[in-house]
Amino acid sequence: MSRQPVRTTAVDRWFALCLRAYPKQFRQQFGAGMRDAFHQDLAHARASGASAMLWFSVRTGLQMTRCGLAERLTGSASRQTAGAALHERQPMRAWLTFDWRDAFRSLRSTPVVTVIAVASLGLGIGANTALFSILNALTLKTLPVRDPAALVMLDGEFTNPIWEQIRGRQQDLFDGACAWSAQRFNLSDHGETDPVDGAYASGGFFDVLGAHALIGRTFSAVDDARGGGPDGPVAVISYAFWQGRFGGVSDVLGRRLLVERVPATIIGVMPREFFGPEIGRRLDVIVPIGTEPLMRGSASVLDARLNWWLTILARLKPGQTIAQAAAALDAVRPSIRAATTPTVGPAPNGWQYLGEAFVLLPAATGDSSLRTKYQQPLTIILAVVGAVLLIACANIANLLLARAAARRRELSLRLALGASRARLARQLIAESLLLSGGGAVLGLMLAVWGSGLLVHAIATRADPAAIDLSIDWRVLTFTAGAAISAAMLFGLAPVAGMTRIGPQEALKELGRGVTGDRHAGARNVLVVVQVALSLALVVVAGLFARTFTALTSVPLGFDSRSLVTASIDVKQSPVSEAGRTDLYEQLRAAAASAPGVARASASMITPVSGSGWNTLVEKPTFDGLTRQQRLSWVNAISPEFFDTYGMHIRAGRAFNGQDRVGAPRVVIANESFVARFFPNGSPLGQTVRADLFAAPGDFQIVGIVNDAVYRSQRSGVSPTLYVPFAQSEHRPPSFALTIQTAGVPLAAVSRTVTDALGRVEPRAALTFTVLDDQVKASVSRERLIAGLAAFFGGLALLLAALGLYGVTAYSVGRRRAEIGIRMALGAGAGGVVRLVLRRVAWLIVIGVVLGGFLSLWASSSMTTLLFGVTPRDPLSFVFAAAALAVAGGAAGWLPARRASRIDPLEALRES
Amino acid sequence: MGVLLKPAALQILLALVDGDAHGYAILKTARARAADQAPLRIASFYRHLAALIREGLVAELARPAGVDPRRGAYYRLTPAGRAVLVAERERMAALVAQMRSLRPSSRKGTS
Repeated sequence: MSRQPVRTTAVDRWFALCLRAYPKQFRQQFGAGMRDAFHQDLAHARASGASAMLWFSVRTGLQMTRCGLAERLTGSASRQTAGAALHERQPMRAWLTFDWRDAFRSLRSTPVVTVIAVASLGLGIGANTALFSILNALTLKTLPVRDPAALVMLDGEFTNPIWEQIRGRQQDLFDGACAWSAQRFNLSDHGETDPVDGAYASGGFFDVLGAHALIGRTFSAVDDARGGGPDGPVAVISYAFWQGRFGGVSDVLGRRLLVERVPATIIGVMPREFFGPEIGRRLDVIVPIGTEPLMRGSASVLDARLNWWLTILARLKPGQTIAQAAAALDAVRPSIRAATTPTVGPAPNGWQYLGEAFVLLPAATGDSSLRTKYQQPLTIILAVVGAVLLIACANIANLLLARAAARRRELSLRLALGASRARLARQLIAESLLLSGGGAVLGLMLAVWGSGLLVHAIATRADPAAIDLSIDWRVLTFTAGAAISAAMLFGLAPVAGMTRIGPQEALKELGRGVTGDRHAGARNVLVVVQVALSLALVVVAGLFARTFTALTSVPLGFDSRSLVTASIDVKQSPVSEAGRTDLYEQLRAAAASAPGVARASASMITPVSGSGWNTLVEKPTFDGLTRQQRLSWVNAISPEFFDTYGMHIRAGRAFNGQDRVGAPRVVIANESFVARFFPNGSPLGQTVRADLFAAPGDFQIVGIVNDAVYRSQRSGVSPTLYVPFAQSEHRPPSFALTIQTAGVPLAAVSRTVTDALGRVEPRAALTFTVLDDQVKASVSRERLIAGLAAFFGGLALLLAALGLYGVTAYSVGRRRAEIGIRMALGAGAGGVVRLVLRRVAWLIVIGVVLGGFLSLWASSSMTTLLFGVTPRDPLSFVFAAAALAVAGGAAGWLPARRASRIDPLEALRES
Repeated sequence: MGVLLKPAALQILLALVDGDAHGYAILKTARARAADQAPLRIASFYRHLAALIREGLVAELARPAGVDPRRGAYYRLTPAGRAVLVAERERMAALVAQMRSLRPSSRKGTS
C-alpha cells in the first residue's frame, strides 16, 4: 500500500482542479480511481526527483484538461451509436476553430508581445486568485456540514455547568445543540510532548453538525458520560490523522490512542473534507467532554463555575428564526443562572453573572481565530494585487495599441479585400480573450501553488492554519471574472482604434508620417495610471517594511540568544497542589545540572509568548491614574530568572532562597512600574498592594530591574511586577522552565533535559521552544505582510518601468524621421537624449503627483496595521517617489540613448 | 468485418482477461504490455474505460470487502467484451493470413 501525502498538498489541489474539466458524472464514476492512479504515478516520478514530479503533474494536468473538455464535447454526444466513441473522432465544433485559429496564429506571429502579455497577466491573475482563494476559505466558504445556514453560535464561551443546563433543554429550544472546546492534546507516553490539535466535544457534536464517519462511527450522548461511556474513553480521528499516524491501515478501529496519557479507543475516522467547526483549525482527535476528568485529573473543570471554555453551537428548528431561538433561550436564562451561579470565590464588584441576554450569531461559516487575525491584512494585500493586475492590464493595452498600430496595414488590406469590420473586430476580441485565457490558466496554476505557499507562511507551530484551499466555483468565477474584465480593459483599445482604419489606407504607402501617432495620448494616460498605482504600492510596501523593522528593533530588555523554554505540565503527576512548589524546584534544579545547560530558571509566564497575567495595583494610590493605567503585568519567577535572561538589577536585590512562603512577602518592580507609581521617590522598602498569585495583601519592594518586553513586541514595555515563585500561593499544574544552553544545539539539550526531568517526575509532559523562534513568530504576521507588499510593490515597479520603456521605445521608433531631421540640422546627441527624457520626466511627474494623493488615501485605511510609523510617513513617500524616478529614468534612458545614435542620413532615407 | 478497436481499448480489454482489477492495476498491465507503443496516460485511459463501459464491453463492480477505499471501483470483462476480443483475434488472424503471401519488399520501388 502506498502512503498518500498527509496534508492536502498543492499537488492534490492541482489534481482536483484539473479533474473538474471532466463532466460531473464522469468525475463521480472515475474520480477516485483517477486520483489513485495519479498518486501511484506521482510516487514513481518521485523516484526520479522533484523536477520529474513537477513535470509529471503539469503534463498530466494539461492532458486531463484536454481529455476532460473533449469528453464534455464528444462523450455524451456519441453515446447513441455503438462503437462511435471508440474509433471516430467527432469534428470539433466549427465555432471553436473559426476565429480562434486566426487569432492564435496572429498571436504566435508576435511571440515576444504574447509571452510578456500572458506572463504579466498570469502573475496578476495568479496573485489575485491565490489571495482570493484564501479569503474565500476563511470568510466565504460555509462549513462542510449538513445545512450550515441553520447553525447558530452562542456569542462567547461558557462553563460546563451552563452547557449542561442548555443540553438538558436543547430539544425544546433548538433542533439540537452541541458544545466543544479546541485543545492541544499530548499523545506521547512520557517525556517530551507530542502535540496534536483536537477537541473535547459533547455527545451531540457530530449529530448537530450532520457529519458522519467515513469508517466506524462517531460518538453520541451515551459515550459522553463522565469517566467514559460503555466503551470507556473513545476518540474519533480525522482522515489526515488516520493517514499520517496510521498509514491509512484499515484495522484502525479499536486501536488504542494515548490522549493526555489516557488510553482511548478509536471508534471512527471522519471523511477527508471534515475539519471541525473552526476554519483554520483541523480537529485531528476528538474525545467526549465526559472524558475530561480522566485527562485533566485534579485540574478538571467540569464542575467549575468560573471556567469559561466551551463554545456552544445549535441547529435551528425548521422555520425557526435566530430571534425566536434567542428569545426562547432568554426565557430560560433565569433558571440557568439559578442553577449555575458560582458559589465560591470572589464576586468582583459590578460583575453580573449571566446578567445579559444570550446572543446568537449565524454560524454558517464557522468560527475562526485565523480569520480575525488575517482578514484585514489579506484584504489590503488583495487590493494591492488588484492594483498590480490593473497595471498589468494597462501594460498589455499599451502593447496591443502598439501592435495594432503596426498592423494597420494588414487590417486595412483585409478590409480592402472584403472582410467586414465586425469580422476583424471579432478576431481582435478573440486575440484578447486568448491572451487573458492563457493568463487565467497560468494564473490558476500559480494560485494553486502560491496559496499553499502563503498558508504555509501564515502557519506557526501553535496555529497550523489548516484551511481548505480547494478550488470551488467562487474561485473559478473570480478568476474568470478577473480574466474577462482584464480582456475588456486591454482589448477594447485596439478595437476602438481599428474603427478608424479605412480600406484605402492599404493603397497608400504607410510610414511616411513624420510625427503622426494617433494613440500617443491614450498610451500616455495608461503610463501615468501605471506610475500612479505603482507609487501607491511602493508607499504601502515602504510603510509595512518600516512597521516590521520598527517592531523587530524594539529592545527586548533581555538576551534571547541561546535561551530555550520548556513548558512543563504535571497534570498527570500524583503530587498535590501544595507539593508543586517543591516539585517545580526539584525539576528546575535537575534541568540546571543536566549536561549542556548553563543556567535554568522557573517562571509562571514565558516572556513574548503572547500570554500574560495582569493585576490591579490598589496601593500606592494616585488620583491621576485611570483604572487602565493602574494595571500591571505580573510574573512569578525563581531566583535565577534575571541571570538566565541577562536582565539587570538597577537597585536593591534579586530574590534568593529565603523568599519562601512564611517569609516577608516581597516583590521586584521594573523601571516602568517605578516611573508610573513612584515618580517622586525611591520605591525601595515601599509597599505594593495587589493580587500577586497570592491572597491580596501588602508586598514590600526589594529591588528594581530593567524594563523588558512582556507579552509581545507590539505591546512593548509596560509596568511589571515580579514575585518569588516559592512565595506564590497559586500553583497551576504547569510552569515555564527557561534554559540557557552552553552553546549546544536544541536537539541535544532537549534530550538531556528530558532525561534529567524524567528521573524526577516521569509523568511530566514537556514542550520545548527556542525563545528566538518565539520572538520571530510573534511578528510573523508583520513579516508576511511586509514580504508580500515588498514583492508586489517591486513587481508593480517593474511593470511600470516596462510600460514606460515600451511607450518611449515605440515613440522613438515613430519619431526616427523627426529625430533624424533634427540631427541633420545640428542637434547633438545630448540634445536628443534630453528631448526624449523630457517627455518621460513629465509622465513620471504627473504619475507621482497623482499617485501621492492615491497613497495618502490608501495609507490612511491601514493605520491599525502600522507600528512605529505614521500613515503619512515622509520617508516612505520620498523613497517611493525616488524609486519610481530611478526606475522610470532607466526605462526612458535606454531608448533615448538609442535615439541619440540614429544616423540622420539613414533615418531620412528610410522614411 | 468486426469492430476495429483502438490499441488502447484493446489493451484494456486484454488486461481484464486475467481477472477483475481496479483502474490503476489495468493501467499498469496495459502499459507493461504495450511498452513499445505510445504510453497510456491517466487522462485518456479513463476516457477509453468510460467508452468501453458505455459499449457494455466492461462492467463496473462494487468494491470487494477489505480493499482500500481509495482504490476506486473494480472492473470486469463482460461476455460481450470477451466476444469482441475473440472477434478481434479472428480479424487479426485473417489479416495475418492475408499478409503471409506478402513477399519481402524490394528496395527498388522507392525513389
